[in-house]
Formats: sequence, C-alpha cells, structure tokens
Amino acid sequence: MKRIIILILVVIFSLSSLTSCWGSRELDEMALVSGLAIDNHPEGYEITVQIMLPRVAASEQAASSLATRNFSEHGESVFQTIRRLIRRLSRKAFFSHCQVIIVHEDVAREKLFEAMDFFFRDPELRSDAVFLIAKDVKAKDVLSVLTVMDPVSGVSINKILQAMQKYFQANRDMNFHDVVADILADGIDAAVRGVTVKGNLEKGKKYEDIQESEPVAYIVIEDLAILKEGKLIGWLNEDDIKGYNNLLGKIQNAIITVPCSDTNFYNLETRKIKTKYKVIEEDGKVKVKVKINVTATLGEIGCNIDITDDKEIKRLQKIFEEEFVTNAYRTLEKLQKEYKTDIVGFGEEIHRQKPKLWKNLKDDWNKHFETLEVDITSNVKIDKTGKNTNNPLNKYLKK
Amino acid sequence: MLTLKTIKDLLINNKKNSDNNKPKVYIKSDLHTNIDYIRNTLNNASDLIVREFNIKEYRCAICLIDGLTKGDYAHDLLLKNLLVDIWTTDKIREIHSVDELFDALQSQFIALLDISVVSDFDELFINLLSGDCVLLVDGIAKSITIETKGWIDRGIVESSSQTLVRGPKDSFNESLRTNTMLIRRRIKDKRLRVESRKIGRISKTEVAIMYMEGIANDRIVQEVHRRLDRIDIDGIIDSSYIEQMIQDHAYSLFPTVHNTERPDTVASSIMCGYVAIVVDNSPFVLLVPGLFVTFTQAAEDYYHNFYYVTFIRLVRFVSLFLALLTPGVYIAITTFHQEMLPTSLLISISNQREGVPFPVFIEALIMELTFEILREAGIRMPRAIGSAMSIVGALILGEAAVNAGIVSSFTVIIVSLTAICSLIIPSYHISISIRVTRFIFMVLGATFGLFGIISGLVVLGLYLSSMRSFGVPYLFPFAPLNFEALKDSVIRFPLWKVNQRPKLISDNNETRQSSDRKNNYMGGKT
Amino acid sequence: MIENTKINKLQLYILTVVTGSGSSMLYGIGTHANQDAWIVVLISMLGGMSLILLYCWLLKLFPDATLFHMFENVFNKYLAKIISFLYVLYFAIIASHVIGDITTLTSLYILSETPPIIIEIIITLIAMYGVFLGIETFARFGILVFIFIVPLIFFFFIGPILSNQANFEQLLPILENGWRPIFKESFPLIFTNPFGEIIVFLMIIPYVTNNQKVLPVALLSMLSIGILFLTITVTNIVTIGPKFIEISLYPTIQAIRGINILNFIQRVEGLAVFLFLILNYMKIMIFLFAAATGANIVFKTNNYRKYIIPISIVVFILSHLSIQDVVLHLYIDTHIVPYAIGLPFELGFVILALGVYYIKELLKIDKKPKAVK
Repeated sequence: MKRIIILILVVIFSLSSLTSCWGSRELDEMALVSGLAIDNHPEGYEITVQIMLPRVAASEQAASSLATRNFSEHGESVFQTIRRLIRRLSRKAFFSHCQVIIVHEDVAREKLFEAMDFFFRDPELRSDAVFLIAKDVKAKDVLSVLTVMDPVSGVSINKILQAMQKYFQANRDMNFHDVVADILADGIDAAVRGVTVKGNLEKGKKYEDIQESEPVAYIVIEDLAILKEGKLIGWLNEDDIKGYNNLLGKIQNAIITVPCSDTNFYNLETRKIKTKYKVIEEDGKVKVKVKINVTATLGEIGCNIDITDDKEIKRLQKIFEEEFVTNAYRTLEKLQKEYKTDIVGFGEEIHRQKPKLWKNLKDDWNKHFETLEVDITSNVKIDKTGKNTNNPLNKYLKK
Repeated sequence: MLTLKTIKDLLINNKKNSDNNKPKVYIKSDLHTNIDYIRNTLNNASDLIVREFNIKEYRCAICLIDGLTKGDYAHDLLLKNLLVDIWTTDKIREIHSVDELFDALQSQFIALLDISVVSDFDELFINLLSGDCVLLVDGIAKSITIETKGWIDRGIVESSSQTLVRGPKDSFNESLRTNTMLIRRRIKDKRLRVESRKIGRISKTEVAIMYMEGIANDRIVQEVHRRLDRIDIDGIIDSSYIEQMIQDHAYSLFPTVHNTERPDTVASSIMCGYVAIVVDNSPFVLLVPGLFVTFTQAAEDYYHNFYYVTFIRLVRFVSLFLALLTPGVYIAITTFHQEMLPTSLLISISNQREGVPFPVFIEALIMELTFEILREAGIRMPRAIGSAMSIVGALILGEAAVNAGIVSSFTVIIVSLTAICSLIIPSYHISISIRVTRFIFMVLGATFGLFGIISGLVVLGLYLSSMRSFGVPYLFPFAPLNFEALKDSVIRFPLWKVNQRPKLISDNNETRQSSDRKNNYMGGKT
Repeated sequence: MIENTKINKLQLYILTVVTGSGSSMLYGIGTHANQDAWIVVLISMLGGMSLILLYCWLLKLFPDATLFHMFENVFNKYLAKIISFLYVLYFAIIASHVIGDITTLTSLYILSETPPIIIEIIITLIAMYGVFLGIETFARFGILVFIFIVPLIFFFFIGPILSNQANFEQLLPILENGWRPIFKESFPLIFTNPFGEIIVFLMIIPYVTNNQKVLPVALLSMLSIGILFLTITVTNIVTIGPKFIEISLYPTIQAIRGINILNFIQRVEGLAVFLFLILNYMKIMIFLFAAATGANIVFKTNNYRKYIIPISIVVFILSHLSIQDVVLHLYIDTHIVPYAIGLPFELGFVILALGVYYIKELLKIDKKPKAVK
C-alpha cells in the first residue's frame, strides 16, 4: 500500500517537472522595463517603454553604447497597447523594476485615471516607481534623453527625485500610490512634480552627441502640477513651491535665501521644519492657525553682520521668519484664488482635529477652502553657524 | 573491576552462535589426535604454530596463531614458565601423574594472568582464533587456554577526520580493548557498565556497550540490547554495519546514530546519559540516541570561550540552511521571482546570463555535479596532490567554464558558497544527507519556485519532527521545547549554568551539578 | 480510542496562536470602521476571552473529553450524532476556506501563471501528510514554526515603521463616526472569526497532558492573538491608510510592500506571503485533524487515519469551488459565513449544550424524591 502511494507521488512530481513549469521566466526571455511614458495619440494612447540592455547597463567601464532602448506603440486602451509592444520586442515586458512613470500633461488633463488603472491594478508594478508629469515636451522625449551619470535614464530620474526629496525640496506624492491615496482622501488633493527637457533635445537623443564634457540636453524636474479630482488643472512655479514646502513642513536640509542687499544674500540651511496646524472654531466658522517652526544652520553670510551679537541674530531670524510667512501666504493665495484646490492638507487637519465640523465641510471641501481663513506665523531658530562665526571679510562687506 | 576474563565468559554465553545446531566435538585425550584435528580443521594454516615439548615425561603441546599473540607472552613468558621456571618450584617434584600435572598447571605453574579450561573444540577454536594460546596435555581430555592476546595495531594517534585546535588529541583505533581503555580512563565511576557480545556469524566481532547505570535511560539501554540481539548477519566489518542495522528509519536520509573517533566526545556523552557502542576493528564508536543537534556540535565547543562558541554554533546552523537552500533559492528567484531582487543586482545577473545557453536550473545542476565529482575525486587522490588538485580543479574549471560561456559567474559563486557551507558541519553523515537533499530542493525550486521550496521545507520539517531515535524525538531540544537542554544546543551557556542533563535522554538523574557555582559537587541529586 | 500521544502546554499554546492568527491576518478585521478598526480588535478580544471562559466551563464539567463526547453526554444519542456530524462538516469548510485563501494569495503575488488547482493539490497533499503523521508530529513542527517565524513576523510589522512609511496621524480622528460602526463590525465578529475558531481545540484537549489546567494557557493564547491582530491592524492603518484598506484585497501584503530599510531590505512581500503560507499550513492541518478525529468518533471506529483521505478530497473540492469567483467568495465570507456558520457552531451549540446540561441537572434533583417514593 505504501509503495503505491509513493509511486503515485513520484509520478505526480515527475509529470509536473516535465511540463516545464508554467510560470517560469528565464531572464533572457524578459524585457526589463525601466521607464514608462504615456502620451496622447489620436487613436487613444501612445505608450513608450524604456528597456534596459543588461550587458551595457551592468558594465563598470564607461558605457560604450546605449544602455537602453525605447519602444513606442499606440492603441486604444493601455492594456492593448502594452501587449502590442510584443510586436517590437522579442520578449515580454516585465514591469517590476520600472523606475519612473511619465505622463504627458494632456493625458493628465483629461484621462489620467483611465490611463493608470491598468498599472495600478497589476501587482507587477511597484510603488518604487516615481510618478511625474511631462510639460512642454512629449513624455517619450523625456525618456529618450541620454544621461551620463547613470546609463539607464529611468534610474537617473528616480535618483534625482530621491535626492531632491532628501536635500532640496519635499515632494509630497512621489509615486502613484501616494497620488491615489491623496485623491481618495477627502481633505487633500494630489500634487505631482513636473519634468521637462532643457537644451538641445534632438542632439540629446544621439549617443555621439553626448560625448562632450557638458551635457547637451538634460532632464529638469521643475514645477508642481495640481490635480483636482484626478485631473490636472494647473502648475505652481518654483517660487510657489517654496511656500508650498513651508506649509507642508516636511523638508529637511532645504536652503532658504534672503537678499540682504542688491547683490548679496543670507543663506539658511534648515535642519528641521515642523509646521503645526491648529484648527479653531470662531463664530461658527473654521479658522486654521499655522505655525512654521524652523531650526536652522546659518549657511552663508553675504553682508556685514555681527552674528555674535544677540540682537543681530534675532534680527536675522526675524528676516527669515518674514520670508517664510510671505512665501506661504503667496502660495496659499494662489491655491485658494486661482486654483481653488487644497493640496496642502488643511482639510485633513480639520478632519483630524475637529471631526464634527468636518462633516459639514467635507462634501464640497474645495469650495470651502476658497474662503478658509488661515493665520500663518513662523518661528526661526538659528542655532548653528558652521565652523566660523562671522565672515572673515566682514568689514569689507556692505551692510 | 571487570577483567577480560569476565568479558570472555560473557562472550561464550552468546546465544546467536549459529554453531548451536551442530553437535559439540569434545577434546580427546590423545595429544596427537587433538593436534591433527586442529591442523586439519584449519587446513594446515601457515600461521598456526604447534610446539610440542615435555614436562618431565609427559608430552604437552602449545598451539597458537602467529601474529595474534603478544610476542613476549607466548614466546618468552609462557614457554619459559613451562620449561624453566617450574623447575624452581617444589611442586614439580611431587607430581607423579598426568592429572596432578594438569591441576598444578592450572593453579600454580602458569604465571600469566588469565587462564581457563575448555573441553570442547568450538570454544577452543574461538579462543585460538582470538589470539589465545592453547595448552594440550597428552592424556587429559581438556585444554588450558591462556590469555595472550596482543597484536600490532595502529597505536593511538591523532584522528585524521576530526581535528581540533584545543583538547585531547588521542583517538580510537581498531582494537576494542584500547578503545574501552580510553573511555575507562576518563570515567572512573563504578557505575560504568561494559557489556559485550559477539555479533556476526562468520566474523564473530566483539561489540561492547558502555553506559552509566542510573544515568542512562533504562529503556534506551534495553532497546539497544534488543536491537543488537536481532542482528543476524555474516560479518561486521565496521561499526557502520551495526549503525545501519540498528537505526530507526532505515530508509531515511538523515542519520539517527552518531559516530565519533574521539574518546572525549564519547566520555562526555556517556556522562550525559548516552549509550556508546564500541565495535572491534572499527575506530568509530557509535553513540545512541542520535539527535539532530548532536550532529551539529563539535567536541571543541566545550573547550573554548562560550561567547565564541555560541557565535560559531549559530554560524554553523545558518550554514546548514545555506548549504541546503542556496542553489534552490537562487534558481527559484531568478526564474520565477525576479521582482524580489533589487534592480542593480538584477541587471548584473541578467548581464551574466546573456549568452549562456542553458536555463538556470541546468546550469546549477551541471556546476553542482561537477563539484561533487571533484570532491569525490579529491578523496581518492594521493594526499600529496589531493588538495592541490581539487582547489585547482574547482577554481580553474569554474573560471574556464565562465569564460567559455557555459555557466555564469554568479552560479559559480553560489555553488562554491554552498560547497564551503556544507564543509562546516562537523558530522560527515549529515553533510552528505544535506548534499543529496539539496538536489531535491533544486528541482523543487525549478518547478514551483519559492512556493515549491517552502512546501519542501514544510515537508522536511514535518518529516524531521516525526522521526525518533531510540524513542527520543529527533528534534529534541527544539521540538518538545526544553529550556535546560536548549542551553547547550545552538548556543552554549557557560558551563556553570548548565545544571541538568538533557531530560529525555537521562530520565533518572537530572541534576549534574549544584546550581551554586561556589560549592561545586559532581553528580547526584543535591 | 485516544492514542498514546501527548502534547504539552507550550505546544498547545503555539497551536492555538497559530490557528487563531491564520488566515485572518491577511484580511485584517473591522475594515469598515476605518481608522477605528483597532478598537474593533480590542472588543473582539473581550469577546474571545468570554468564549474561552465558556469553553473552559464545558471542560470543567467534562474533563478529558472531546467536544463530541460532551455532546453525547448532554444530548440524546441521535441528536448528538447529527450535531457532531455537522461539526465535522464545519471543520472541513473552514479548512477549505483557508486553502482557498492561500491559493488565491499565492496565485496573485507569486506564481501568477500556474493554474491554482496545482497549488491546491500540493497544499492539500502536504496537509494530509502532516495529519497522517499525527498530532504530536505537527505539534513539534509548530514549535519549529514558532521559533523561526514569529520574529520574522514582528519584523514585518515593525518594518514599515522603520522605513518611514508610517504616519501615525492616520489613526486620528478617533471615533469619528461614533460607536455605531464599531459595534456593527464587532458583531458577529466578536464571537466568530477569528477567535471563535478556537473551538477546534476542544477536539484536541484530550491529547494534552494535565488538561485540567488549560485555562491560563487558553487566556494567554487569546491575548497573544489579540496583540498580534492589534499590531497588524495598527500597522495597516498607519502605513497605507484606511481608504486604501478598503480597496485592497490583501491590505497586509500591501503594507509590507512598502518596507524599504536602508535601500537594501526591500521587496520583501514575497517572503511575507510564504510566512503566511506556512502559518496557514498549520491551521489547515489542525482543522483536518479535528475533522478526521471527529469523524472517527461519530462513526465509532478506532483509527482516525482512515478518514483523512475522504475528508481531504471533500475539502479540496470545496476549496476549488470557493476560488472560482473572488467577488462571490468575499461576499460569502463577510455576510453569510459569520451568521450561518460562525455563530451556531462556535457559540450556539455550546450554549445549547450547557443549557441542556444544567436543565438536566435541575430535573434530576426534582426526580430524586420521586424515585425514593
């Protein structure tokens, strides 16, 4: 009896090995996608994938040839288009290592979620992939610019964004999952960074032309796209982004610059920003008090100031506080008046702090946001000044 | 104190002597008849020495097998006794008959340690072929067997298979009495039992069981006796024959009987309650019951600092898993689960695989088989070129294969990592089990990916959990969780903290030291 | 009838914790209460404790007896047999649910192209093997699982916090919609899934040494399961937010996907799937064992191993049916199973048995004086 059972088991296992196992994918049957671009097309969508060529991407010496290739296809629906890509690739596209998703602003204006549903639903695409909206150029053009630092430009873009997050300016929604989370939440809307190409685009696509010591074309991440109810409605420029960051209160290591004369500046490196929101109810209306608390290191002094003097430090701090508050108000005004969208999260704060009030406001939050009273103050503390105290050339600098 | 004579007496009581069925042939009185019978039975063996001589006027003869007897005993002492020394006694003048001579020989004249009287040829032959001298007197239908066993053996040298840095370096050799001596020197307690028997119809190999009465679990001892009694085989060449005949789970890949060449391991195990089986002609002593943890421990572990030992033991455990799973997991991830790799690693692997004609599974299989071949070949080679050849073979073969594009360098790394990991395990038997099981996991990984490997691990876990070695669960300190015994398994607590003997092996007497380090008594319940 | 195998209290504890956590860890509890789901967990824990007290009460009345023996003592023979047989079916249904869940999970995240039936066959075969080997064996295996896997599980739950994915503000506002959604979620969950499935242990109690004193062990295991669930629920809410939990099929796996420590330990959700796989193997084995032992008692035979193969075939077919339609399966799981299966089997019959027992006791006291006459 035992022998029969063992025999049956052996047969089952041998058979299953013979069928060459369904889900096995050899590495040389896969096309590793490192970047995805979605553009508008009369037929529907035009989708470009950036495929990594491992032989070049892995080599440690300077790349002697292209590490990636782009393939485009167009079609009526996204899924259909992706499958069509097989016509051009000899392998099936594999999205698990996709680093960046770029959607053109026209697509974002009209049909962002229709386009993205496939990627969001399929478990292959991961939340590591950074999400950007292309402006002024086609999304596929962004992917076709060759980068020197990383042979694979998708990886390059991803790394740029990560570095920016760490050292420069916060980005709230870096990947598509965050975008969806923000859209699902009632009290906040999504904001996505934009990407564009500067320089000579045509030259930048050719391999020979990037052999110069200065890059001919380069990818620039600038501006912030505002998505209201899942559709792109406008952009915030770099100045506005400063205020946005202050309101968000999430960045570390940002640089704030304040002019101290016509030509020179004071620079501050913020080590810790914490923005505190306090929701209060006044005469039946909701009011939000925002306090931006900053701990910073003095980065650069361009004018004559004696920072060993306590009064001078306080004056400097006040200058920066005003800078923060002005920026914040300017951005807030733009958001309230021009775009009428809350991408900072005031609604969420009201939700958390005063849920009963929120019940009345949540259905049409953006309308209420227009008339929301916000009171912004700031508190800057400069506690470190680097290695020196004053600028050695202090007496020669203007006041 | 047990003498070798008592052992011999016990031997003669062996029931499984298949000569039982034949009628006994008794010794005759006539000397020449006896001598002729002995010569004919052994067919004039060229190492049979028969020396006839006279004591007074009575004819006597000594028979012995050359080589099995200790030189000076037979040649110098015995004959000197019988031909020269007896003339210095008064008794010799009083002997007037053969019977008196025989009694005197028994009681007074032979100045050697161990003598006995036998009256049938079966016993005579057993003794003769074991190395004793047989003294025949014309006119007496009995013979005197004199204990003169001794032969040239390997001596006590350092073990070649289980080396260590610190600790005693003597190891067992092929002579049973040397082995029992080595153990006795370490355990001088009167409760140490040495019980032997002869196993093997033709080989009649002496096998001795050693254990501490009162500490070892009685059930285990009885079970050992029972299983040894059951063995009915032509010959026992090495202790591994006994191991294979008495182990639980005869068809299993995993060993349930431990073996070792080192007397310190055996002695400390006996003191914990294990039962040792010493087999003549084999330098490997069996230890029963054999649990999974015992195979991952080395004797040295007790002689080094406990922090270091804990660390090394953990490394061994991890290596065990690595040796088992690495090729399988590598195959599974690169074939089914590429999303689990970080991108840069995936690009590297992908790069190396371009141009390799085989799927990962075949590649890994080829490399593994090549390594196994190299390893076996390395064992057979003469020592001088052995190690050099295998290193050279492995590295250069691997390198050349990569350059030729047959395999990718990642596979070579994985396979060599596996090989090294499997060498770290102290017990050879388990490492060969792991080597075989590894192939099964490779197949599982190639067919069902990580799901197959996990399922394989579950099956393996269940299988190991169901195994018992002489009644003790195989995964003892882990499976029925026992914190005292855990102190000496994967980790090692300092010696003064391990207070009790492992519970299931020594049911009776658990406390092995008092819990107070300052007043340190040995053994017994305090 | 009861074999000569024993498991000790630690093994009982481990088996209980593993069973209770089993498949519910994947889905999370009380998702409709959004960020107050953790309050739902706490309340369920109370419910679980009361269930334990109920079961231990039964145990005190009938020491050393399985659930079915208790029924035989309380009800009359035929009713007891029918109820016991229904319980065998109940265990089989739960086992098939778990197999179905795990198969869907594996199919979705790991082996997307293998037909699920193969995965089911393998899982069923291995569970059968485990049950064949006997409860002592898989109790020992349970210890192994516990030792190696529990630390890993805690790592998976702490991982998102370490990777800065955790936003504790998502727990606010507390009690946003008041107590009503919490109560709506709690009942019937309080008494059924997952804490109610502990009833399977009434089948195993006779195998435990020294089974008079199981109450502390049972309470401790309930507490452990509760803590485990609390951790999962809080991690889910904090990592991916309550809105996401509603739209994901397996919120826990989504939360684990975000782990990215030092840019090196990332993409670990595959490992998490396997962890859950192994835990659920234990659960399947226990329920199969309970069903087989139960069938053994109902049909009054000596060897429960005879029933393993037929019950496994039934379980396999049921699980195959349940994975055909994910949406329907979800609906049945949340709306029908707790009421139709959970409540009666985990709570209803137990209370009924207790009630009948005490009524009988009262009647006996009444009857005695009459008999004397």
